Parts: sequence; structure tokens; C-alpha cells
Amino acid sequence: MTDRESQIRRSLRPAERVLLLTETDIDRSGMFGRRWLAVTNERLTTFSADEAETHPELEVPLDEIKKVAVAHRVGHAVLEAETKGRRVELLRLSNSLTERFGKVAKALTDARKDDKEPEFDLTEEEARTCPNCGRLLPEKGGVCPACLKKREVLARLWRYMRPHWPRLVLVSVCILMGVALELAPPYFTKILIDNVFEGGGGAALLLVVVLCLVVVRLTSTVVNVIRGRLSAWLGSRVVHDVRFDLYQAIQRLSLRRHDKTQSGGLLSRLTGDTTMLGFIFIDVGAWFIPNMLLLVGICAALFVLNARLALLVLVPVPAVILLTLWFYRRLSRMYHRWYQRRAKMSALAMDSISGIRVVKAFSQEPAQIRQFAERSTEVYEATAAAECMWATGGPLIALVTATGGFLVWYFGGLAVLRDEMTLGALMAFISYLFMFYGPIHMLTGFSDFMNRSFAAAQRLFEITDAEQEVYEDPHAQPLHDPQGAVEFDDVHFGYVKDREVLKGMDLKVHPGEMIGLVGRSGVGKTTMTNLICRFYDVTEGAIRFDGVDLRKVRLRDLRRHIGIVPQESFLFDGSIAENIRFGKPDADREEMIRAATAANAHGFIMRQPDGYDTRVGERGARLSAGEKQRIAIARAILHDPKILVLDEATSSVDTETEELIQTALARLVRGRTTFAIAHRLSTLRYADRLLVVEDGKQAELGTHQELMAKKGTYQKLVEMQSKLSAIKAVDG
Amino acid sequence: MTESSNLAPPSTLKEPYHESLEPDALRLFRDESGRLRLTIQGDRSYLDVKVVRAFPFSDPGRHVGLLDAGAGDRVIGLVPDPKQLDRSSQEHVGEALEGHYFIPTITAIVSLTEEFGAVYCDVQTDRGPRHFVARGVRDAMEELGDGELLIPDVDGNRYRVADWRRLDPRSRRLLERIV
Repeated sequence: MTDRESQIRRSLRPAERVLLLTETDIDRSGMFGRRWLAVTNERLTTFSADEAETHPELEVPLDEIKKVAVAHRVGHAVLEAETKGRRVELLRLSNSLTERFGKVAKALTDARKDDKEPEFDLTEEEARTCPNCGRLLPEKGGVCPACLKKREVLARLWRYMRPHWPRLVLVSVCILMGVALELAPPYFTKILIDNVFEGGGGAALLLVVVLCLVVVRLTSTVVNVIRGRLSAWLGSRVVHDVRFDLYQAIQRLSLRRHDKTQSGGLLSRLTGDTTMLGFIFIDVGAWFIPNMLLLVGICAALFVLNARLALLVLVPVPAVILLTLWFYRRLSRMYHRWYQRRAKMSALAMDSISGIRVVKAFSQEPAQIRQFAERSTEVYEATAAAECMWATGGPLIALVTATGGFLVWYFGGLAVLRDEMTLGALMAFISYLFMFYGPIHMLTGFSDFMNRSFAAAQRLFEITDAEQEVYEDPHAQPLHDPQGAVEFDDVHFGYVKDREVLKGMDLKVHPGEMIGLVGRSGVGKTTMTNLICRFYDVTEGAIRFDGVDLRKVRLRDLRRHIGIVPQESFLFDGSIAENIRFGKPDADREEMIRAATAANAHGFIMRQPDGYDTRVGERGARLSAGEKQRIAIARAILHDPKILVLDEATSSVDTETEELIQTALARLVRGRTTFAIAHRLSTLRYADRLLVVEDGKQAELGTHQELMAKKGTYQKLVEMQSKLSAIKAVDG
Repeated sequence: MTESSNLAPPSTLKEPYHESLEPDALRLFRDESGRLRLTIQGDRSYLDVKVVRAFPFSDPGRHVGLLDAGAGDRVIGLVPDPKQLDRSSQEHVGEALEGHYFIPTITAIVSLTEEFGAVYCDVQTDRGPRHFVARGVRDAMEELGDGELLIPDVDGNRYRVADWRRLDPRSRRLLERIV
């Protein structure tokens, strides 16, 4: 408890019991700051952070309160209390706290409704900060990126490697051999100079040495080929395994998460990040480890040959490392900018080219060309800057590196002149020296590269670890021969926390009944159907299927018994037959034709030159809206669901097609519990009952006749529509 | 996931979409219940009014919409220039707007670190200092043109940068990591 909190407790009346003392992040003047809400058994009070202040800023006696609610505004929310005839703004809060204060508001309202003392339970909140390091978490209840260290990522990657351990061992052996073999030739150079040319070893020794060189070269070639091939295979294989896991995860990912993540983002993870991950495997195996070992080997060789000279070699090393690091960091930032700008440019071109008809129709080509020219200029500037940097930095680093060589030539030369060192040793030394700086350059660029690879791995695991679909109860019940009764019981739901779409929806639907959902757009009709399919979970209340909470029903079974004819029929690139069979791949051709016939689709399908084998194109682009719709209906008929969702199935077709679709639908809904959304009320004529939704709640419910007699919203809607169609008739 | 409609709203909920209200006839005031009230003189009165901006970013000072909060936020009309209202109404409009919008403008970036795709930001805003975490910020960030940015954090708060090119050099350098 903070000092201010104990102070606040002290400044309340002695007889009062504090039921809740909680803090908001916006102060009274609308600045980020601290402010407290104190609820006692007598009143609601707010206190500022000002320690000199012992009086509450605001107070509302508990027994005057009718209702407390979090009202969402733009970018923040307000906790409001409604008293007799008054509305009091208690405090403001950022979107980070809406969940907590939502609970406070509910507890207070519930307590007032039952006229008892409020009880607060704010503990359910998922952790916002990391229990280890106290850092804010990127997602509530998520993993702390700082505490999830590279070791864990490596451990998980290792799990993918483990099954291939024999090959890994082989790769390691190859790496060791390769390094040893690479170190050999300079040593032979030494023998060649000292023993053959200077020591008079003769042609025989020359032949032996040259043969040794040939053998070393041959062996190292073989070893390198084996190592390269093995690690390439290993890398690609492991990337495949990761990608496969990732794709499985994406398919099972909850829709809520799909809404949050752009599909482009998911795709780039699937292709880009997995490739990046491949670099870890291939490059760590084929590049990093051998280079490290080589570096160690060369160092050893240098010191064995001449320790004093070796120390000289090390002189420019810190400068080389620092310079390279600095250079790579700048360069990578420049390349990053170049990459971002290029992405922006292609996005613009994509957008403009796919909308080329609109562009031409509004004769906006010059503006589009101008915009593209701007983006393209940005790209060329970024490219030029990066390339110039590269062109300057590369030779500069080479120059600094070369200083080591100058020192060795001079001091090594002196040593040879003084006979402290043989010429062969100096030549070998120089050869090792050239080999020495290569790995150093690589290693400096490597840390940055590795970081990015780890980030890629982390992003991948973020998806594989993400909430999978909506949570399924391990004791979920299977559905045997369901009846199809559906019940909404005080259902609350919102896609984002700022906006609740359903605000206490109640509805009871009998098996086989068809319910028409009526209301303005945005009132929650489609949302209701989304919840029935359990694409999302309700935030409050429950939906029951045959009396069982949806959350207790096996998801697989639930979906098996639900069919959807969506607003925009989505067809997959493939044949008409494949699309009809989508929900039941093992359906035979006769069944399929029966479904298509019932959907009034058989006729037009047969008129296609390729019949049922007609390719529909990407998203069904080669078919008309009405045709796609009927294929979607056939798909639903074949699926044979107990519950059917029709979302404005006839919105964008001509009258004749509408008639075809209507009769197809009439066949489809028979014996199924159906939820139909339509704006044209005439299309709901088969509905048993109509539900008028207003403001996320049930406004009216009954048959067409009942609702007309009621003279409420429905009757007005019908009247207006008949006027509209009268206008159409006159115009038409 | 919104529902689209090819149908105009029902006649009972008629909205005068483009009605510009005559500023001289408007009186906005708080009644004793704390609600904002609107009287269009010689015509009608609304008991619970919400004031919103038509262009909260590109033209926040003008084109103020009045909504009838008592009737599902139906549009009452548009005030093209609130400065033409009488002094007291103007104050109430200003106060209501102030209370409706909360989009802090970043004036300086104290620190910005990126780890595993999450960006931890320590910023100074016109609403005081704030620490926030953003995720997938490059995709989620909105560029409003002329250097204006909206950066969303993980909780759905948004932070505005008026013109990133005019921030101090250090802030700009930090921001450039994610722009």
C-alpha cells in the first residue's frame, strides 16, 4: 500500500469500512496522473494525488446510486454514476484500465440492484507486468520477452533438431575436420620454403609436400561438400517442421486473434520468418561454428609460430571490431529504412493497380503516378545512401585491417633478417594472418544478424503459443443427435473493449424454428450468428445449445451441426464440385448433385462447359454473385446442419435470381433451426418468428402479424420498406 | 466485423445527415442533472447531447457534430464553426470535446527499446509522462500524412505525434527505429 493510500484511509470517517481503494491513471484535469476511487460502506469518493488534500474531490452516498457504468469515449473511458436525476462523472481512465473499472462498475450496480453491500473481486485480472522483472507485458498474461531468453528459444529450436542427431554428429565431425584441414596448407608452405628451398630438401621432398597439399585440398573439398549438403538438408528440414507447426497453429488460431493480426502479417511469418529461422540453422551450423573454431585455430597457430609477432597482429583487432560494429549498425539501419520504403512503395503500387478501374474511372492516373514517383524517389534515396555507405565503409575497414599486415611485414621481416625467424615461418604467419580477419568480420556482423533471427523465432513461437481457437473445456460434451434448440441468456459481447455490441440479449429458439433477425446495421445481428458458431466467446451470460452451454460442447461437434450461408459467399480456388464438397469431402457425386439441385444451382452448373469440374477462380471470381451464393447454399445443404445461419443471402442479386435463391433457401431451412438476417423484410417471409434487435438487445419478438399489430419498430420498418418499393416501382 | 446495409435507416430514425445548424439559434448548457442540453430556439430541445468532432485529426476545431445521446446517438446536426456560438455555449462545447477525446500528443521520446517485436516507450506527452508497450507497431501505426502519426499501444490507447519530423533530434532518432 502506498503512503497516499494509507493517508486516504485515515482521512475517511472512523466508522467507515473501506471496501475498495483503487487507482486510475488520469487525474481530474485530464492529465496522466494518479487518482483514487475509494468505496466504503457509506459512500463513493475520489481522492487526488495531492498529499495535502484530506478531503475527497467528489463524494456520492452509496444509497443514492442507481447504476455505475464505464462509458467508453474516444481514447479513454469514464466511470459514471447515475443517481436520482443526476449523472456524476466519477473519474477518467485510460483504455488500460477499462477491464478493472468495468468490474468495479458491475459490482457496484449489482450490489445496488440487490440493495446490499458491494463485493469487489478484481483478482481475475491477468498479469499486466512480468512477475520476474516487473516490466509491462506486451500482452496481458503473456510471456515477458525480456525474461524469455535466447536460451529458451534455443532449447525450443533444439527440440526440432534432436530427431536428426546422427546427421548433426556427422556435421560436427565434418566441421572439425574442415577447420583442421584449412589450417594445414600454410604449415606446408613453411616446410616448402624452409626445408625445400632453403634447407635443400630436394625435388623428392618437394613432391611429397605438394602431394600432401593435394591430399589436404581434396579431403577438405570432400568434407566441405558433405558438411554443406548435410547442413542445407538439416536447415531446410527443420524449417519445414517449424513451418508446418506454424501453419497448424494459424488454422487453429482464434478468430479474435485473426482479427487482431493482419493476414499479411501472418503470411510474412509463415514465409519470411521461417526463412530467417532457416538461416540460424544453416548459418550457425555452416558458418558461425566453423569460423569460431577457425579463429581459435589460427590464433593458436600464430602464437606457436611467433608469440611476439602474434601480439602485434592483435593490435588493430579492437579497432577493426569497433569499426565493423559501428559500420554494420549504421548499415543495417539504412538497409532497414530501404526495406521499409520499398515495402511502402509496393503497397502503393499494389493498391493502385488492383484498383485500376476506379483510378481510370475518376481519371486519377496523374495523381497515382505522382504518388508513385514520390515513393520511388524515397526508395532510390535510401538505396543510394545505403550503397554509398557500403562503398565507403568496406574499403575503410579493409585499410584498418591491413595495418596488421604492415606491422607483421616490417617486424617479421626484421626478425627474418636477424635470423630470429625463418622465412617459411614468416610466410606461414602472413597466410594465417589473412585467414584471421575473415572470421572477425563475420563475427561482428553476426551478433546483429543472430538477434534478428532470434526475434524471428520468437515471433513464430508467439503464434504457435497463442490462444488456440476459443478455449475448449476438457470435459466438453459430445453432441449426439442434437435437437437444435438455441437460447441466448443475457448475452454481452464486444469485439473490442471500447464497444459492446450485444448488451444483454435474451432469446429462446425452438428446434426447427426459423428466426428472422431484423434491425439497423451494426446492432448486432451478424454478431449473434458469430456467437452461435462460437467464433467468439460471450463476455457475459451464456448461449445454450439444447440446454448445454456452448462452451461445454465439443467444438468439432458444434461446428459439424452448424451451416452458414454467408453474406459474401467465399469460394476457394478449385472446382465447383470441390467447393460444394468443402464441408463433407467424402460426399459422392449423386449426393452432390442432389444438393446442387435443391440449391437451384444444378441448372447453371450444367450449362458451364466444364460442368461440376468448372474452376471457379480465386475467390470464385469467375462466377456471378448469384451463382456463388447458390453454390454456398448447396455447400450448406450437403453439410446437413441442425442449425443454419443465413446472412443476407440475397443482398446483391436480381429479382429472378433472388427467387431462385429464395426457393432454394426454403428447401434448405426445412427442419433446421435457422437464423436469417435480411434487410429486405420480404425475404423473411418464411420465418416463424422475427426478432427486432435494437442497441444490442431484444426490442420486439413475435410473428409478422403479432409485430404488425404491436405497431412498434417492426411495423414502421415494414411501412417504410413498402414505401421504398413503391418508389422503386414508379422509378423502375 | 460490421454489418453492412443497403437500406437507409428507418423513417422513425431519420437523420438530417448534412443539416448545418444555425449557430444563432443554438443554446448549449448543463442542466441540474449534469447532462448537456441543447435548445434550438423556436424549434426543439434535446436533453442529453453528445458533442463530437467530424475531423478529430485534420480539423479538430471546426465541424462539430451534435448527437442525441438519448436516442442512440442520432445525428442532430453539424456546427461548422463553434466560434460562432454564443460564449457560454462555446465553453460547453469546448468542455464536452475535451472530455470526449483523450489522445495524448507525444512531445518527446525519453526512451524507446525494441525487444522481440514489442516496443517499450517512455514518452512525454501534452498530458504528462507515460510508459507504454506497443506490439506489431509498424503494421498498427497509422500515418495521417504530413508527418502526423498515431501509435496504438497494447491496451488500445493511442498516442499522437503531431509531426515526427519536427521532434527534437534525439526523439526523432528514437522514433525512426519504428517509423
